[in-house]
Amino acid sequence: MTPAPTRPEKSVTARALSVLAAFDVTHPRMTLSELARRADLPVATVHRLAKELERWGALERDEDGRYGVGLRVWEIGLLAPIHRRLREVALPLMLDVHAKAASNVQLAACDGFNAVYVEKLTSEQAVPASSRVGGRMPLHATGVGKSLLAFQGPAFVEALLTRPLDKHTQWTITDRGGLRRQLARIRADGYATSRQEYRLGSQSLAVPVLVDGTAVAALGVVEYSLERDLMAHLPALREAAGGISQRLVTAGADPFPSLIDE
Amino acid sequence: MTERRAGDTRTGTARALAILRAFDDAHRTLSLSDIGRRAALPIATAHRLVAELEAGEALIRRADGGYEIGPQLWHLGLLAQHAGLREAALPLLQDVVVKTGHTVHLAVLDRAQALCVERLNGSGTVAPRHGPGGRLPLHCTAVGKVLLAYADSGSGVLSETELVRYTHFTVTDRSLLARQVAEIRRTGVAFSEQERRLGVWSIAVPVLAGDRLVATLGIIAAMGTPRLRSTVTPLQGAAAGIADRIRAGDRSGPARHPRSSVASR
Repeated sequence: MTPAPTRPEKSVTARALSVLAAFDVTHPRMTLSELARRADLPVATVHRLAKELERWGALERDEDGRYGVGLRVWEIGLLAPIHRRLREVALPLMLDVHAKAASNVQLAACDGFNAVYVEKLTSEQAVPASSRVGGRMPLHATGVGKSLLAFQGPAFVEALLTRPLDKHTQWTITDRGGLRRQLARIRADGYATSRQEYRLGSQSLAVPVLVDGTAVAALGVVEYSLERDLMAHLPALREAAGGISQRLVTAGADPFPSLIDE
Repeated sequence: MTERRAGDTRTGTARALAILRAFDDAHRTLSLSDIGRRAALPIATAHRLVAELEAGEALIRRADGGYEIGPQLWHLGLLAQHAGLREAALPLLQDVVVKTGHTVHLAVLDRAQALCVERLNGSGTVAPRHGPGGRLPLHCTAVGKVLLAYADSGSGVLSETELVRYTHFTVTDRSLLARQVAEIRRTGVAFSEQERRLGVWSIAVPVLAGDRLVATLGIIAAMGTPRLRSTVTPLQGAAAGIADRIRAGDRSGPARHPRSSVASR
């Protein structure tokens, strides 16, 4: 076996991955120079790598010449276990909630110390970029995030509480004692709300999808208006989350089979 | 690189990408030796590249030692323009399933095939054999024929499509196919009657933004389904709705689409 290279400069693979990792929901399209800056690589290197990645379909260029992530990455990304089982089980039930609620429905799971959207159904045409599928959201400030957090093991919650709780709006709970009390109430009630705690003008309601008492996902409704009656969605959310739990249990295994050793 | 196999002229990037390509729907978990074999790389090279891909979270190693595609690629893939198209389309696909009871799918042209971006199953219909990420031939499926009909005339897709015979209904005569395609462009509706699978019909319509084809939307159903042609109206309604949503997305924010501006944040 050849040992992994120990020289300080990045391998070709690492540089190619840095180019790809420069993209995120707030930087979905970039010029060559933006890409080089965010990847922290010389323009000439990025130019050469980008050409190769484009030929393979990992990058695409729009008509203004800006680079974006290509279809090939989407295709391969679908094979990631985080997406597959949970989404397949949940999507039909999410569509039921969407039909009843006429609102934005989202399914999220924990990804490190964030919530990540696994699936989302929108009813409004313009939703914030960060709430797209694959977008990451803070656990302490969103409905789905708090539902996930309230039903994790105590060690996970304690680890999260040692980290700074970012203040996203004046309503975000950044006080650890206050967050602990709210999580206890969420455990008792079985649902979580966020009223302008992540973004002014939006509110959300979410319930956990429980397998053996732990939230493997959370199902929520987001309203980009404060006029709507959030709690009216609770029965539909509970029914759907119960259905997803049951199907996951029947399917008989962890929804993320490859993440068990994390 | 001394490990490079004789005659292997691939660059380092190409070999790393070949490792990712070793994974597909039928091969979601691979051992190191599977990866080496499928990517045509010596085991030592595969070992080094896999370690680098794992360090970048493009691959993850399971407890049993097998490798899978990592969440990092899933996250990145969702930034591709067609992921935005899919999100814009989902509620409208659901409408079509509710109205017709049939399985509906959304596809785009990719490398002379129809790449299925999303699929929703109807209740009592034919089990589709392709999910999101699945590929269909162009010349014998309704979605494929729509893509052929609206492909740029200069692209040569029609002349380059290999006319493989799947059933005795498959159109393998290029001039007949060209006539069908012209008719589809005129009427805006494509049909495939048992041309891909015996016992299966499909219907598809284009999703057009202005005069540009964005995607195609189709239904598949068992042959003999009554009033199948009446599903054209809900399909066309949904296609128009998807085009509206894409245009709205272009105007108002998230980059859903190559013509949209950088997200306004």
